[in-house]
Amino acid sequence: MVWLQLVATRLTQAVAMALVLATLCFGFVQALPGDLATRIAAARVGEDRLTPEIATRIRAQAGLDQPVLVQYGGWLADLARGELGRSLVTGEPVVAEFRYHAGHTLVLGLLGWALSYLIALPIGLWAGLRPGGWVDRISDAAAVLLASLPPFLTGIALISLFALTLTWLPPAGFGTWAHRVLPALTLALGLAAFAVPVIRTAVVEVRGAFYITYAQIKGLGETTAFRHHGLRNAAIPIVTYAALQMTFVIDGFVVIETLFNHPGLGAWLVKALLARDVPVILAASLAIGFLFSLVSLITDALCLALDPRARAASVRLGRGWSAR
Amino acid sequence: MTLPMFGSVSRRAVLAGGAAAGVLPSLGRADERAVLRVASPWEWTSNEPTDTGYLMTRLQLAETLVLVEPDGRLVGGLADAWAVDEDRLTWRFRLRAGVRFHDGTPLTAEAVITSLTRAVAGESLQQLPLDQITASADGVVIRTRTPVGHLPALLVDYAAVILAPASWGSDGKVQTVIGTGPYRLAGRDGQTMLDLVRFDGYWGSAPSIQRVRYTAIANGDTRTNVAVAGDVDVMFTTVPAATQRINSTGRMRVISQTIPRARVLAFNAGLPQFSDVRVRRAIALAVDRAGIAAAVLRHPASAATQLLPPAVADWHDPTLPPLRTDPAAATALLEEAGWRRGADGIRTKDGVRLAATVLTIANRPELAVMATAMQAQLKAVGLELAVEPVPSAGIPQAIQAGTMQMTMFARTYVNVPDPIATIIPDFTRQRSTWGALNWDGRTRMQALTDRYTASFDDRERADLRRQILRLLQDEVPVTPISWFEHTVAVHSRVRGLVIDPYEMRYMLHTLSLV
Repeated sequence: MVWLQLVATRLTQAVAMALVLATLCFGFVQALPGDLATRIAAARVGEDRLTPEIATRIRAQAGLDQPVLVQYGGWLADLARGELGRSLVTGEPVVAEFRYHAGHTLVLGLLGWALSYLIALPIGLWAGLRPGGWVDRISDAAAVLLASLPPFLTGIALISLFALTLTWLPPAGFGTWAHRVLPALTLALGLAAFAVPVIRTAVVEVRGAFYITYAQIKGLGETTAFRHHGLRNAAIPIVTYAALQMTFVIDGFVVIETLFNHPGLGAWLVKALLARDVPVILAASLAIGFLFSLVSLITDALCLALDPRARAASVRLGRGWSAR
Repeated sequence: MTLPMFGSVSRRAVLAGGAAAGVLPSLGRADERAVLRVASPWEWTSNEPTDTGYLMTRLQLAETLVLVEPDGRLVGGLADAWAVDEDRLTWRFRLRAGVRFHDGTPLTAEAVITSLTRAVAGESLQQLPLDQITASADGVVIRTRTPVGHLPALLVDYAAVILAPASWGSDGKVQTVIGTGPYRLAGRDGQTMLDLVRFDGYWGSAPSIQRVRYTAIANGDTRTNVAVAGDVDVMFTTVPAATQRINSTGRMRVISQTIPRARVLAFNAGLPQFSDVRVRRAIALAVDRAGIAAAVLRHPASAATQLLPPAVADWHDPTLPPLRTDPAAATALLEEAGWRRGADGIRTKDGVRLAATVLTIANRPELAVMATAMQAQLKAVGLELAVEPVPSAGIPQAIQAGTMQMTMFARTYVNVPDPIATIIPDFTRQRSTWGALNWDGRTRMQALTDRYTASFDDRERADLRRQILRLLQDEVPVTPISWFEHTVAVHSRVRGLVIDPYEMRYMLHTLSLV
């Protein structure tokens, strides 16, 4: 029952959020300065061949000369039929383009995210178990440094070292695993910089909790007490934070994909925004809305699975899971 | 273990080599070294020749009836001969025998008619007063409503590539590009990566390299990184500022060639500031082209002396007095035109201040820097200039809204090999997007271009070209600032690079790998 409520609540929220987000994007695109059709024409035929006649033709073809509300209504009607339309620049179905770019982003995102926890978990745990130790102090300084660097600077530093100086890895491109290493590492370092302090703090707090002290009083060793009673408790904020980070990954992609010439969602969205490719912008905002909600759902489910108190509370209060 | 193709430590090759199977599954590691890696900024945005035809011709996937050689000569492409009837309206193109499309089907008049009809329906060849295209015994007959002497040059337009009938889907859109070029499209990964394979049934001489992998890298810094790492064999359109960095690694060498593309300053001649030709001439005299070319573009030879560089021999008149810098002469002209300096040094006349905002295109960052350099040069003669970078669509929008004062942009004059096709829309209309605006010399220009278009006499056409160039130089509807350097980085293992100043082909068929 708790699970059903959780899924139903989150799915309803997902649909509402995606629609609101897409509507806002539609409004923003319309409010941007400049003529939509001219921007689309420039992206399609190149600036050398851009003429007002081409823009006029595209405006009529794409229905951009219709009142804004009519355009919005048309988009909603298409959406109700499950159609996202075609890109105004490439002419390809938006769904096909989304699938292609999302595939690239998903692989890179998961890789970067997993890599970040491969880095952050051992360091964070170590620093939390030995607060004030040398690992704690060094990791704290490194985390501050990396967190303050924008992803493109981290990326440029990695490219300079591994691609241009050592020539171990390609500086850009895609298609092979070697091409994924540097962008994934750029992403991972940025994520790990924020994750290490979260993990460290969670571990420190749990170690100081009364139930650990109680476990030690009843005779368990420090490590055993933490493994049996601390790990699961420390995992709750870490899981929540890790899931939230998955959504922040989207920010990083815009820069990283451009720098590494990686054809993912970030690069796709930026191109669409520059070209005012309305169907693509709307589809991407719908997808991002869904993604946020989906991650939220998975996080709640994991926390619910980890924390029996939450399950009990939900049942007792007779309502769906709504707050972590 | 050092692989010659990378000219550097081979660990990258080892890492990338095996995994590259994901792109070309049939290739082993040794074969991978035989693949020519080509990169440029241009993405494959769609299958339509009117949109992406330039990549189809540059990568030599598809061809037009007429081709242009790098020296400017028009030569037979899919047509091996052509002639015009006495009426000067009927052109007969004989199709080359034995030409096959990449799907094995033969080139037919019907295929040519289908492709050309769609090209003309599109935007690129709309200047052609086409009456009809019909099949003849050995080719096609193109009939125009009025005489067009430069019709063969118009057919070099990339939108006029000839595709196989199977290329089109039932919706009239191109589904697959099936051309006749020396390379065929073997695979495409999104808009950024294309795999080309030598077409063994090609009508001309076979290229030496069997496989080509093309990557589009839109970001200039990323292109520089790839070239510095030597992770490409030929990279077209490198960032000029990165030349020294790329050369210093020893892996690649940057070669540059002046091409018929110019960075120009255009005026709204309908404004009181610019309606007097003396003001426009004064501005042309005040700009220090050589200084800008040396300091901003780092290439002194790219300072323009007239609209087109010597690379287009027919349209470069060496007898024309070159554009020069003479602030004293500029000042004298402005004084003569009645513009007097105010207390702040800026001139006024009848209450109008000699000031303007110049719109530059943001995606060509050097334009804003050049315009900023001109700010000081023009202020010295009494003109106040504000610089505003806008997206490329911002200029047509400003023209449409009537707010354009001055613009600075880069313009290619060889969308087809005869620049007349660009000069007509740019200088004979009241409101040109990439040329003159409200220029009172446009009727004189139209008289010249009409005569040129209708002329079939080489001497008369040469004389008209000189007159057109002189009118542009004298009347200054726009003032050219610099020509373009086409920069290409080439790996040490590549031989036989030829740069086509018309940017129609990457001339992949001349390349070989050592």
